[in-house]
Amino acid sequence: MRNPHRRRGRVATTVLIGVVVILYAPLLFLAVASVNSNPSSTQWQGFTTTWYRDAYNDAALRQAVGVSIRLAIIASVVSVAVGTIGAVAARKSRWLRGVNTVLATVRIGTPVIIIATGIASILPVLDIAFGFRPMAIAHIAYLSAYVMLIVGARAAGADPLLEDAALDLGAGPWRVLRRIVLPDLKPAIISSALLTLAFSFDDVALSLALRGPTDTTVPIYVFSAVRRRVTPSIHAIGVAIMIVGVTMFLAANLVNSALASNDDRRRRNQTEVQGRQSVPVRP
Amino acid sequence: MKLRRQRSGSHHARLGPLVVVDWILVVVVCLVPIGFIIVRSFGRADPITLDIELVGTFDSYRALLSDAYRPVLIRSVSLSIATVAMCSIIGIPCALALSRLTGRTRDLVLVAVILPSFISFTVRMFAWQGLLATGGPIESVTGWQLLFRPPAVLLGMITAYVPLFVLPAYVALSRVSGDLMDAAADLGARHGRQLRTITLPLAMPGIVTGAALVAVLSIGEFIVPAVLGGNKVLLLGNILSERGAGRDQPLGGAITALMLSTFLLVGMLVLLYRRHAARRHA
Repeated sequence: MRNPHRRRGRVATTVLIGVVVILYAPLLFLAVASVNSNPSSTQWQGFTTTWYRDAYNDAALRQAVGVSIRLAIIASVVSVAVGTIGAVAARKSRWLRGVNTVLATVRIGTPVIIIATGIASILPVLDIAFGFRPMAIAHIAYLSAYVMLIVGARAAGADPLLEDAALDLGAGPWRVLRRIVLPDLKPAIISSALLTLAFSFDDVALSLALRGPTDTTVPIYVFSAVRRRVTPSIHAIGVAIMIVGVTMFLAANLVNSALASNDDRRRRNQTEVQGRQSVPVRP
Repeated sequence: MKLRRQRSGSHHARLGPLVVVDWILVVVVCLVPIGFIIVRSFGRADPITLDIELVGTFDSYRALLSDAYRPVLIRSVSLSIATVAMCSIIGIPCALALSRLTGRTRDLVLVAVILPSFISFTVRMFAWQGLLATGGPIESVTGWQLLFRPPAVLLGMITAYVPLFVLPAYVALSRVSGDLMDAAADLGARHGRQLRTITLPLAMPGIVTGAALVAVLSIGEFIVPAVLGGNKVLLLGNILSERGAGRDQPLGGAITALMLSTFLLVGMLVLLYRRHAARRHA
């Protein structure tokens, strides 16, 4: 009776381990290749930091880093603002929330390449020049869908009595928003900010379709370099991008767990207060 | 501009109207362009000026089924189906193993599965190119020449999308109550039977979500075939990305219309399935 259970469990565990290995093998390869003095990176030839120096001195790459950072920050800040405003505005109405969810799902369920190609096909007709601005607007319009879902879910779970109480106690609607609604949404806002930052930084489809001649982002730089001819410094660039990604992930987790424990404490305090108050009421 | 005007206008009023900021953005930036390119699919490029004339022809759809593009269409659809199938075969045991873990080990493995998704997609695929290259680690150990051939593209797709399958499947599986399984075990159901008759059916919505996600993402994929398929394993996504907005706009429109109607169909099937499953469990 125990035996088949164990065996089944072992098969599943083996597959899980296999997947983890497959997920990390390319990253390990990249790290090794970035310090391998063999430029074709097929066989180990000895340690070198040349490729990192090459990457550091690459002017085109530096420009791409600048464009990527600027784009990611603008896209993240504006899409978080737009998505949060939408989620907060819709929080009281089932109907508005429904429309928000449908529009967000439509965007996320459409391959980005379709949205990118659509925008690229209409820009010339509208006489709008390709470049940074359409890139940024497309990023914002696409990424606010994720913000809408993440922040919307949190807003839907908020306690409406808290707001009513504040209003009853004479707080104006803006004050309620600032002191009650937004603080409660903070974890969702921060998670979506980090998620949109990561997505925008990683995007190829939208940027590739809408960029002007000088708006190369880091992933586009890597993508076109890989397709032309691989230079060994791409490995070093890849490792740098990897470190940025891991750092952002860790930051997101740290912030989340810090906010979650903060949340717990607040909830506990609240229940304590409620508990204390309820004592004298009891007959 | 719009935002500021509305805010000052509704200072003491309800926030409701502000919801339209995002709606306008979606409609103008996403839906109108997609509608536009679909309309263009019924046009034809003027051979000299290359302007698209809307003549109400189905040429672009015929071209998509012609000898030139039919192989691409078939390759795209079959690669996408293969990716979904492989992600399910690999992902379900993965999610099962994850759902059986507890405490710190589970958190750690979960992080290990999610973390690579935060590292640039292009960089990960590029790294696979190095692993699979002639003379690279995989070829020198196994002798398999995979790079720039369909298996390499499939492998890339699987590694890219398996975490996206595992997560919803894991969430669904971990919600299946342990009491139910204990009850089944007490009644004499063996492990395989518990899995078949209780665990998997209850977790099916999550599994279907994962599969639909992988299907949508893999059919539009253009980075994986470009990096791991060279120019030999072209998919619909590559045609869209390279020529869909320019001189082959009608073809781009036809591909868009085809993909979106497929998704609509898949989405409706998933919804129907969910409603059916919900009714059965209720």
